[in-house]
Formats: sequence, structure tokens, C-alpha cells
Amino acid sequence: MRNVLKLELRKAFQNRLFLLALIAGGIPAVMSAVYNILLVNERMTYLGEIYSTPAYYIEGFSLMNHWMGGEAYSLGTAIFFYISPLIAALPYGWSYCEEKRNGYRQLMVARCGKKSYVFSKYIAAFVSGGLAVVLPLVFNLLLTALFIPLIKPFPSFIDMYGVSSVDPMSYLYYSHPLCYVFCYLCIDFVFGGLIACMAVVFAVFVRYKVLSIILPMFVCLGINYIENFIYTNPSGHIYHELSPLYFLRAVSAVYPASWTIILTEGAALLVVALMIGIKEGHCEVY
Amino acid sequence: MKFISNLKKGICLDLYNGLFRNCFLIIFPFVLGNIFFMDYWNRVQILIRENQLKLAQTSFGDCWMYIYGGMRVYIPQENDKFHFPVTWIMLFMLGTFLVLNYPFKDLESSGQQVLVRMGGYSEWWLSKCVWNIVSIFYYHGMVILTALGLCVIKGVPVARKVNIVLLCRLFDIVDPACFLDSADSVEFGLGWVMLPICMAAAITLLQMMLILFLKPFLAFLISTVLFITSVYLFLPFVPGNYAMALRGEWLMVDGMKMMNGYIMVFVMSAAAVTIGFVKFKKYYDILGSGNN
Repeated sequence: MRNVLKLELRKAFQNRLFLLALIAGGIPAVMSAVYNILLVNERMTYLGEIYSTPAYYIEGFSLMNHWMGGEAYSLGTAIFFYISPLIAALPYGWSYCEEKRNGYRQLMVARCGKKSYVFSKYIAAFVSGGLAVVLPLVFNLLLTALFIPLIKPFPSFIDMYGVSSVDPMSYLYYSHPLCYVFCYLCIDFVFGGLIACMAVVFAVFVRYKVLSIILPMFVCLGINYIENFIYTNPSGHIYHELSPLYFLRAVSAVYPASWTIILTEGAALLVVALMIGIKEGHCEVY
Repeated sequence: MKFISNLKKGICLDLYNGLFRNCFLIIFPFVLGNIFFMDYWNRVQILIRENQLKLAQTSFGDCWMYIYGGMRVYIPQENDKFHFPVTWIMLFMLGTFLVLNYPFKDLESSGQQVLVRMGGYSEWWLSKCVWNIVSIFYYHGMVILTALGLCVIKGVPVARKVNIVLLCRLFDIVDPACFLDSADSVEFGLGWVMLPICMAAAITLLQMMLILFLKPFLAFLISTVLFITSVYLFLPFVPGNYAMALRGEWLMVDGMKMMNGYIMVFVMSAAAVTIGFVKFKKYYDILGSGNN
């Protein structure tokens, strides 16, 4: 079991598609950082001409509202979170489909057993998918931090931060901002991993790996579209974000996120992955 | 003569295998048309219940606009966070996805036999291009016809008019000053109906050409980024802008020009077909094409 897991993890991280996923996530990360650094620079210069001391405005320009996860108005951020299901599935979500087709699965099953093989496959897909989503975010955070300081958010500038009391963990955002960022990176890692596991689930049913990579994205889009049907009266109601394309951000773009929805969707994805995994672990492969 | 006869056979074969026998491509437009109409209908019903609108004030044009409108011009600022138009994105992405795999799946199976029997690469490639265009026209045509049929069933007047008040409500437009006409409703020509469909066909041709150079999911990734960039950037050289009815010059001040849109469709299609043809004929290894 240990050897298979090691082998699968090595295959997951030492393939060109993992690198490609990092590049695909890294480009929007750089775009977002450049946009935010230039924006902050420009605004600070402008405000510096109006006010005598930076103390009046400096707290509005924190790393917290200018890193990719904390802002919702740059093109880089829009692209990254929109393609995040593709980025998650790209490193290794396709492998089960490929190995099913070329006969490698039968070989592995004969050597190490079905359960170990399927379990290792899921773990490798989960870890690689999670990292493919999180690493560009961490890269962006560090790149932005080189130019924009991490100033503890001050509630007076709530309009600039976009995190209010209806958002989950808002108390952490204003008291321990780095813990807040860390929590969101963990959520992103878990969902990136679960989306990659969804690609493995789709791989059971489809013949071509391109389909197993793309279909999780349509699931996310479908969840997003459901909002159109059930969130029909925005005035007077506090709706919560259903779509992973939005609630993976550390700031709300349309509706505030909710722990209930995040945990329910996470659990649903996990249950589906487990059910299909158990089924695959028992089915005939020859 | 032999070229034309081979091309005809190739097109018939591709239409049979890639369109008529492709149940997803056949069924999805009907399903999508129904979903989009129900979504539109729900929103109209809410406005009617709140006495903000009468059914007679709406028309098929509003439904078409709801599906093909896209998104108002986005200006990045802190109090206006970017969120993509899910209806429009879903419509166009599903279209590009449905035509993504067939040509190269075909090349792995019976396509190689067909290619050898046809005696030329050019017929194979051109028949795939024709198949691509026909499939996209079928897809969008069926979405529109389904919505039109449902409008007739529900008693919505069939007219090519857009109600500005309804438009502002559907697309969260606060200031109607961005519209060209101050009248309650604006009429649009057939050219504007065809432009998003032609643009979708051009983008899928481009995607098909890109698959010859890259893997299919990378080509799809590029199409995806192209769509989201089009929503974000309101620039004349970003092709997706012409596929958003809301950004046309018939409706919006400084909107996208129809002629520029058709020129872009032509240039993109011609470039995709020509580059794809050269690459496929001279450099593409059909035996090593298993990149699906």
C-alpha cells in the first residue's frame, strides 16, 4: 500500500501536466499581483497629494485586500478562480482514465490489489489537485507582499476590504488576518483536491481523459447556474454563495459564503468520491 | 471533381457520425433552451407579480437578450466586484465543449480509414471544418428555436424588440444612460442575432485548429480564458465582445460595431482553417494522435 501510494504521488508530481497546471495558475497570479501593485502605487501617490499624513488612508491598502484571494475586481483573479476546477483536475485527475484505457490499471491491480490502487489514485489526485490550486495563491500572496505591506485590517475601511459580519470568519479577518488567509488556503486545498477526485470519478464513466478533466468544471458552473433559479429576489434576503467558483475566494464577490454550504458541498463531493471509489475497488477490471 | 465528390462524402459522414449520432449534441440545445427560458420566465413572473411589468410589454427579443446578452461593460472598482454572466458563459462553453472531441476521436478510430480512402488530407480537414460550423449553428439555432417555441406557448409576443426597463432589471444596470435610445423598447436586426452564433463558430474553429498544436484540454482552456477575458475587457479586438448582444452598437453608446464583428469572424475562421490545413497536411502525425 505504502509503495503504491509513493509511486502514485511521484507520478502525480513528476508529470508535465502538474507543471502546466502551475503555469496556468501562475500566469493569472502574476497578472493579479501586477495589477494590484500598480493600483496601490497609483492611489497612494494620488492620496499622498491630498492628505498631509498617510495615517488617514494607509490602512485601506493592505495585503489582505490586494492579494488574489482577497480582491474580486482584477482580471487575473477572475481568470484564476474561473479556471480553478480545470487547474485542479489537470495534474492527475485524468490518470485513472488513461490507465484504464491503456491497460496499466490491470497490471497495477494484479501487483498491489484493487483497493490499494484505487485508494492511492484518489490520494494522489487529491493532493496534486489541492496543491495545484493553492500554490499559485501562495505565490501571489508572497509576490504581492513584496510590494504591499500586511496591515491589520481596520473596520473603518470595510468598504475597501469587502469582508463584513455576514462573511464566515470575519472576526479572524480583523483580528488575526494571517490565520484567516491560512484557513482559506486550507479550504481551497480541500476543494481543489475534491474537484480533482471528481475528475477521477468521471474517469470511471468516460473514455477520454479530456472529458474527465473538463466535466468537474461544468459541475461547478451548474451549481453556479442553480443560484439563478433559487436566488430570485436579491432585495431583503441574505443569500449565501453556492458555487465553489466564488466561495473559494477569501472575499465575497456576489453572495457571502456560509460554513453550512461549504461543509455540505465538501461532504457531498467526498461521499460521491468514496462511493465510486468503493465501487471501483470491488468491480472486475479484467 | 474528385475533390468535391470526396469532400461531399466526408461532410455527409461527419454530419452523420458527429452530429446525428451524437446524442449529447442533439439533446443538449433543447435542454438548455428550456432551462434558459424557464429562468427568464421566472424572473419576468416576479416582475409581473410586483406590478413592475406587464406580459404584453415583453417579447421574444427580451428572452433572446437574456440568453445572449452577456454582461454590461465592467469597470473595475471596489464597490463593483466582478462576477461572470453564468447564462452566457454556460451557453458558449457548452457549445465549445460539445464540439471539442469528435474530430480527433474520429481520427483515432474510423477516421484513419476514411482519411486513407479519401486519398487526401485536405478533404478530411475541410469536412471537419464544415461539420464544426454546422454543429454550432445547429446548437445555437435549437436553443433559439426552443426559446421561441416556449415564448409562443406561454403567450409572449414574438417580436425582435428589447424592453429597456426589463433589460435593466435582468442585467442589474443602474444607469440606463449607457443605452443609445431613450425609448422604452429598441428593435434589433437579424444581423445581430446571427453575430454571436457566427462568433461562436469562429471560436470553435480556432479551438479545433489549436488542438493540432496543443492537447484538447489546453485548447479548451484557451477558449475558456478567451470567454472570461471578453466579459472583463470591453475592447474591439477581444472577440467574445461581439458575442454579447448587450454590447452591440444598436443598443449601447460606443458599442461594438456589427461590421467589425463579421470581419473578425471572417478573419478568425479563415486563419483557423488555413493554419489548421497547413499543419494537418504537412506536419500532423495521424498515427500518433492519441492525445485525448
